[in-house]
Amino acid sequence: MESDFLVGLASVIAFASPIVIAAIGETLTEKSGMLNLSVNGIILLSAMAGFVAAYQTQNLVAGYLAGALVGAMIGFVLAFCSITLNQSQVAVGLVLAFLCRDLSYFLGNDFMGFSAPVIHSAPIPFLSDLPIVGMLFFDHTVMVYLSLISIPIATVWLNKTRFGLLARSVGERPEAAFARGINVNGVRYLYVILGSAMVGLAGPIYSLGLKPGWKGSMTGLDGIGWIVLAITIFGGWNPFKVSLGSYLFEFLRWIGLVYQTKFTNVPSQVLQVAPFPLMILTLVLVNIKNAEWYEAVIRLLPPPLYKLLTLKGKRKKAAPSSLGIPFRNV
Amino acid sequence: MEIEIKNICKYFGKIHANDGISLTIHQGEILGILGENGAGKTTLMKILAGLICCDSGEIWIDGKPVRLSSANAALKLGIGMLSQDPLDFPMLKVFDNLYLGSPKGLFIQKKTFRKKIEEEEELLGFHFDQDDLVSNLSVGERQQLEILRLLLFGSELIILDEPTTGISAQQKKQLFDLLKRLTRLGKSIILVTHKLSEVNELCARTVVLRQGKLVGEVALPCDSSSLIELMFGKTLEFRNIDDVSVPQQHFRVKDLVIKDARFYSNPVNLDIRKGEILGLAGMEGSGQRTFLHTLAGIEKPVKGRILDDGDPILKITPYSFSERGIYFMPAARLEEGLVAGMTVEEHFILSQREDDFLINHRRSLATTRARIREFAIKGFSYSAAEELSGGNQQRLLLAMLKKNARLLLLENPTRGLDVESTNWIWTKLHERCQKGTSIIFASADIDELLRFSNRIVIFFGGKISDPYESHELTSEKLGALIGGEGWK
Amino acid sequence: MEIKNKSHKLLKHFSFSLVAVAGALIFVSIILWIADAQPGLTFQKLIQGAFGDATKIANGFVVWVPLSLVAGAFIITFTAGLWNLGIEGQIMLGAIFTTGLMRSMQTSALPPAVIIFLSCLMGMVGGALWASLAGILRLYGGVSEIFAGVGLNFVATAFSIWLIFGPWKRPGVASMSGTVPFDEKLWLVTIPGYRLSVWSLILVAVVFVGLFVVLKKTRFGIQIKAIGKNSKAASLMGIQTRKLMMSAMLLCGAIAGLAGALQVVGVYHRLIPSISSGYGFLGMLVAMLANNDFILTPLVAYLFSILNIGGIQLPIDLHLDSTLSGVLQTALVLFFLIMNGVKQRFLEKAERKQDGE
Repeated sequence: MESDFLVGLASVIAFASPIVIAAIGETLTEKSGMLNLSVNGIILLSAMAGFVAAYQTQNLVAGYLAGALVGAMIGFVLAFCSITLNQSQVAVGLVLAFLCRDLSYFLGNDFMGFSAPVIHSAPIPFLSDLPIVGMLFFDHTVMVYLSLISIPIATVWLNKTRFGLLARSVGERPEAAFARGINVNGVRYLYVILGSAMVGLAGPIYSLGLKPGWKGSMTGLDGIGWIVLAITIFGGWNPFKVSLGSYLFEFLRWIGLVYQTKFTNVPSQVLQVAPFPLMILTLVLVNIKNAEWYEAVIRLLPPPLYKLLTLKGKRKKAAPSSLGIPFRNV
Repeated sequence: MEIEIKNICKYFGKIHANDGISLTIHQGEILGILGENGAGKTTLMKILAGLICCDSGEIWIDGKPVRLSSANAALKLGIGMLSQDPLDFPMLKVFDNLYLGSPKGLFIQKKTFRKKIEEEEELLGFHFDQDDLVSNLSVGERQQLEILRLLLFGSELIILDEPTTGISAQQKKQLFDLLKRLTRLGKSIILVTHKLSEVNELCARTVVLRQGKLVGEVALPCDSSSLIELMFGKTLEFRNIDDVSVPQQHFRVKDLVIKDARFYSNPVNLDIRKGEILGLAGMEGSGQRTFLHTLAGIEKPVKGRILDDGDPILKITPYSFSERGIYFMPAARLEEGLVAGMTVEEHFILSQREDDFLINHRRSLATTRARIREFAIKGFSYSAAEELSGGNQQRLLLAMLKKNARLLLLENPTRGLDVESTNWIWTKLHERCQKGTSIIFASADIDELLRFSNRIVIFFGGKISDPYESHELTSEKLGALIGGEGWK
Repeated sequence: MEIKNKSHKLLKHFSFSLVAVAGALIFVSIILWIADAQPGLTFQKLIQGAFGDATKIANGFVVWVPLSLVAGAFIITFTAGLWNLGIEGQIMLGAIFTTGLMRSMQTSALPPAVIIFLSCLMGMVGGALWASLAGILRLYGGVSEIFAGVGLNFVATAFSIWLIFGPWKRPGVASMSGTVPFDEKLWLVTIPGYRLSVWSLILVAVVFVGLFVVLKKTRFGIQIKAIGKNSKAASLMGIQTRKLMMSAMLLCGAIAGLAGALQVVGVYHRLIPSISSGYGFLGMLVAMLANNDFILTPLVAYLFSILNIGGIQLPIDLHLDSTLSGVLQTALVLFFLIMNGVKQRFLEKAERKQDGE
């Protein structure tokens, strides 16, 4: 029973790896002030493209690269249409989300049911033999390792490098960044493309590993992109917290699976869908703290309770101030 | 470093913001630049700091002409400006805020830069916790931070634009000490202000701008009256408007405390009479806007109440205030007053607010045409709001005010309008006063205030004065009050 | 002189739209080429699939009904400045509420027409209710209506799945084919032989006329237009922005709910999973492509409907996936957005040149 739990946790970490990478990518994009609503489409399209590329070349690396490339291209289109052509980020993102999804089903149709190389587990010698942590962190595929190190890399990148500082300044106050001589739109282009490439990496992680193959609309990837967007908010645009959100989501899904075998009275289909609304509910609850009525209500509570609730809210999950707002240098 | 400004001109459309201005700034001096709103001070400083381009003229540094193509370029040449809004990053840490803009390199050179900061802080005499968020700093501290940043990047000349707006007396002292210290280190300072006492305290000399021209250069210290005369010009004799106010009160402001971005005001007690015109004087940003917003129900006061015929108004929303006949007319016509993309007719439909559900197009068209005629708006019922000229937008805003208004709150109602339009608008407003409407308006134009107000309240540095009867004030006295002199 | 300018402008707009359509077609042709298909033959089959016989033509209208209703509903919230992405869930809740009432009235003595009418009303209530949730989250909870909407869509999906596999499941084995179908007498009367009901068509016309009147001819319509364009100015003018935004959401939800109701009573006669069939998002795309114009929207909706129906033929005839319709639809919207941007820059440059003269 105990090792079942550990095995389950390890699988959670593995299955969450694409979500972690995608969510961190989107975090980077949104940190610079851009909103990329096409994430759902990118994941599907890159999963299909990665699978096809790996199938055609019988080379895994080609598959992952293809996925990232697809992501980068879609990101470029989004950046071009919203920055250079000044169209609404929401509109363009949504259209791309559906276009990519339909493209993935259409172009992938011929490849349904084929088999391509699948990534194998690569346990790290010595470390994977450690009790508990060994199984949890050191007995996975390369891509899972990648997802794990992406967390500290992204954190360091944002907080300790000049490029990260550029992103943050552009996302917080583009007018001030512009006054300091920073090319605001250039930075945004870069981060949209970079973030989208990371999202594009998530797709092949599914189709070449976690859910091998391409099964069109039955692949079960539709909807993950929206969760990625929610997790980005839920995690307060902080790579570490965002990764926690991703693990939470996969944990909920795993619980659903376990619950399914142990308690058969709830239909499995419900359990499959349940994590999605649960995730959104959490997001809403977290966000509601920022609402004025919440302030008004808790002010009525006795002082110690009030202090407790506001203290938690003080760690404000503030969005990049310019998120979604186009920058016009007049 | 010696800086020469030679014959700078800058136009905004037909307006001469800067009209052939020449002056020199010597090393190690604090030069004052005085002038009222719209005199051209900020425009000139923005040109000097590289934020905007001049249309003609040159700037020379140490005997050589230079091109100030951007704020960064100007900073590289040694000129930095501290704006009223320092354009810093509230959500970043102090260190990051200072570091941003540093030359290339992947990793932030924390150690070297930290040392650099500390060395500079040593020279200047203050110290920041570099891991603190900028938003946690007070306004005065944010100013110091920005000055620190400008010095770190090699500023020799620092321009300060109205730096003491909204900082405490103690912070002001700290700032002034810092400025004097900087000059001892060989830096030059330009102080742009409307506060006469500051200029007298800090500067050895000052220039005065009025209506885009440099009208005088004065050695300091000197007495205020000559400065005021230079700033505001000779008093012109105008026929004052008749006072049609009735002692009967409409509204009353009781112990009202407002909070502007940076300060809390003193408690205000004011009776607003029926048919009276109350003018709010003072430099922009001294709290008049917040005051008007509070009286219009757009912002909540920190303390105090507004009484309508004796009853305190409890529900504070623009809607409930407008139900009582209180209307606000913003200065930012297209951003806050009108809806770009909607036609003149649609604006009248919105503002008339009758109870019908379906629009009677014939009636609304007739109303629109009548109003266009009545207010001489150069436009058609189908013209989009953004197609009208500024003056006509103002007329539209005026025409939208409901006939049954009891209190009108106007923010700079005649800004950017020519004399004829101004007179005409005031005639229209006066007609309303005769019918019992009270008017409170904010203006930067001393003549307008003196001509049209029955009483005037002055805003200065967070303080709101008691009302003066306008016939008790001369333009010199009013100018002095606006500049901070003569307050009890 | 002015007439010449106006027609000149129309011509410019039209030519940009033409380029957009051409761009989309070229893009799709490239995609087809990648998929080893012949563009010409494919487009031909698409049209055949849409107009090949009377059934297909009728089916085109069957899709048109919910699609145009949803697009019309979306225009309302968009005018108020809201991105009501939750419209998909609002359709579902409409279907759920309708099914619920129908199920409870199956043995009732009331005439079927009355039952159907009440059930459709119930559907509108369901949709409006769901929309109110998104509205509350946005207006009082500080949550963007985009995420509230998408989140509520998930909840709606989960809810309908739970109903189909739980309390409302078919006796014996629960199935993905939905709840037990209603008795034929409770089916919306259709044109004999087809799935299309004249009532649905009439309803669409009525709703559109109604929406047009509400948005263009009522105070409410002008007010929400003001809120959408400049909510700050609207608020300063004394317009109660919150109340009106909520009303817009409720109205939109009600119409979306009606679309869901019609899907239940007129097309499927039961509740199936994903009864909204993606019409929520597709309807949004229709409105975007039609630039929120009331006359263009039903036309564009029809274009999208026939593309949908036409695509069904593709797997059978050409071994191509039917999502090609989706590719073409979204490509049209994308290229329209691109050309919109190009047009604006083009016009900006022309204006600046004119000023310079």
